[in-house]
Amino acid sequence: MIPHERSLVEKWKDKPFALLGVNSDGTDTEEGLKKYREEAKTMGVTWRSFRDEGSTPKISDTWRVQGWPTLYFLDHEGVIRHKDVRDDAEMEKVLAEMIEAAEAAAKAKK
Amino acid sequence: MRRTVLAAVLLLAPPAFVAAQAGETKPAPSQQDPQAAYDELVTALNKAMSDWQTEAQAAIEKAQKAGEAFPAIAMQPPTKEFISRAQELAGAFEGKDDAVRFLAFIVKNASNERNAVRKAVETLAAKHAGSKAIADVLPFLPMATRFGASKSVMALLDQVAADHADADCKALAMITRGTLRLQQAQTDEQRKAAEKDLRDVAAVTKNAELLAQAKDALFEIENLQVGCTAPDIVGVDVEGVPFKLSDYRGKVVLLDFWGFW
Repeated sequence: MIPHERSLVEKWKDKPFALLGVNSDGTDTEEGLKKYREEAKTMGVTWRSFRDEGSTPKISDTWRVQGWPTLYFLDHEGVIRHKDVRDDAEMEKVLAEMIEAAEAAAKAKK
Repeated sequence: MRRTVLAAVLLLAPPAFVAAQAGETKPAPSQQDPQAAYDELVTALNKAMSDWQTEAQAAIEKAQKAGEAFPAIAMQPPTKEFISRAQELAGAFEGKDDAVRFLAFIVKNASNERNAVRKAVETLAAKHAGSKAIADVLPFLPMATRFGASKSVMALLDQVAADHADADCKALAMITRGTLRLQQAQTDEQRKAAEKDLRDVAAVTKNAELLAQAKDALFEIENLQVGCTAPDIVGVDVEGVPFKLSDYRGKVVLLDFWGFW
């Protein structure tokens, strides 16, 4: 999961694309944050994540997350286009289509 | 975190476990106090699961180091004997309210015991739909659908939602059915049926917790479906720096709920 995500971030770094996490590793505690930093360094996690804990309700509760990981695919207007596409190739395909649409929309505005 | 909870349960309740381990002669199931028999069963299962987790974790680490395939033990939690025992106890109290907790135990704890789950839900639907004790198992029924029990799960929820004497039981059945319908929905019509279940809860109960559950499930229908504008997230990143999901408007966002654990 993480290596593939890293490759997507790298591949589309100049495109209108962002990978955002909602991380549930308890980074609201010093110990949790320390562990997160170490793991992120080892695994090459460079993208930004919301901290799931520390707000009431938790973000994962508001979003009714039943299991981890849970994936939402949001287009350039913030509309949910897909949920839980997990296959690497399929994921890349739907994202590529969405990125294309985002670029077309940006162009049309100019 | 789950392991800590298990450990805490074990610390609180060693005597029953010790007795079970010592192999004392037990009275026939029907002669036992059902609550005590249930507590003993739960304690013994927790202990076995905790031991298994430790063992499976070690096997996974060993296999990873050696570059071997995922070890079989990691896919086989030791639930079988406890599910069998619960079946025996449910049989001993057949038709009585006391059977419900053992049938519920099967639904909650089965790992690979497909037939046991199906039979348990069938029995609940056939004999216990009017029992007050049924409330305890309702929230776990969606799990039973993974064991091919969808039909009897729906039959049970339909009965409880329509006819149960207790309003909160009815409401809970409606919430569970609505949530389940939503999970399985392929069409707008099916989503509407789910929505109706959840909206109707307010007409059945004034219980604040149940109303909140229904409201949360409705939020999912109204805001978290494909085609909905995603709710904004206003929060902080792992380092504590504030940011918002809507900061990324104009970009495609892959939002991933995750953790290293």
